[in-house]
Amino acid sequence: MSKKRERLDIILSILESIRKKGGISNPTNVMYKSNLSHKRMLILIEELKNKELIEIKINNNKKEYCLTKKGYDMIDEIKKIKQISDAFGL
Amino acid sequence: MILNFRGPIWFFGFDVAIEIILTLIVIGLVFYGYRAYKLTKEKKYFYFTAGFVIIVLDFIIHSFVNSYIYYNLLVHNFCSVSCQMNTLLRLFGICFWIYAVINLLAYTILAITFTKSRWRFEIFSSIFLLSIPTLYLLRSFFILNLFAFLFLIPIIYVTYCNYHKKKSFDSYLVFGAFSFIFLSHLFYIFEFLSGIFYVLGLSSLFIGYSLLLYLLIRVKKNV
Repeated sequence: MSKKRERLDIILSILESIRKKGGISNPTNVMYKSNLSHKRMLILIEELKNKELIEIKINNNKKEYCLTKKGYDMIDEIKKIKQISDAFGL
Repeated sequence: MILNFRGPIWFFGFDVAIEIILTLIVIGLVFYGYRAYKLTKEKKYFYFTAGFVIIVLDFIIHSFVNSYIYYNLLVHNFCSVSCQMNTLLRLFGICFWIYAVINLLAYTILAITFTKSRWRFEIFSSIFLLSIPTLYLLRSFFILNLFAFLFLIPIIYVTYCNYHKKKSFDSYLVFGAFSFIFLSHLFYIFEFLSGIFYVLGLSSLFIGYSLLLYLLIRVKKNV
């Protein structure tokens, strides 16, 4: 049985999926790339929006998720936190 | 009442300097732990941060009391007046009690954070609750270090298992760090025989936390 993904991994995969698309991505891409259900993705997106890591924009009646400057910085930060977390076996 | 101060006279002041350095290293760990908790709101990061915050507090109390005692002993020759000596010993006794309880509380929280057993909270909090009256009745560094073993042994085991599983240099550093912290308590046990064991204990502690500092540098440099 595969191990449950850590919350940090999930947040990182969402932010990375947007970054890989040049900082702007649609919800479907984020959902598939981060391997989440639609409902779970919306909850996390809302959380990341409140933390000002992403912005939600409407372009041609389509929703887009944009990575903010804080979001770009957070990707590196999460990688560092993950390195420490893995080292301690948390 | 504790009647002897810790370590040889030539070491007075060095221990304070070392503990200040250790405090700065642990603050680095607290920073990452807090950032992780702020982002994920996961309990394990809260406990990790809390455990190390308490260790910071412990180092500050210990170095502050030592500084005060050394200052009075060496600069003002405090010992020459017996009533002042009694005050100093009383202060040392009270501070030992606070230092010991805080030290064990930090290890309790870290043991709960690192181990995965279902009953970890019940087991480690029971050991901690048992340690308080024992320390109060016996008031010795020997008992403090024995209880510290009970918390550090499972932490070392878990960090070893983590290293064995991941085979990464970072996990090796953490395993090494806790092994040296454990070794420091082993040296402290023999403190009553000679002050040199206090020097060896603090040196081990310094090596242990230096390994954690090296981990922080690697993380900072993205190695």
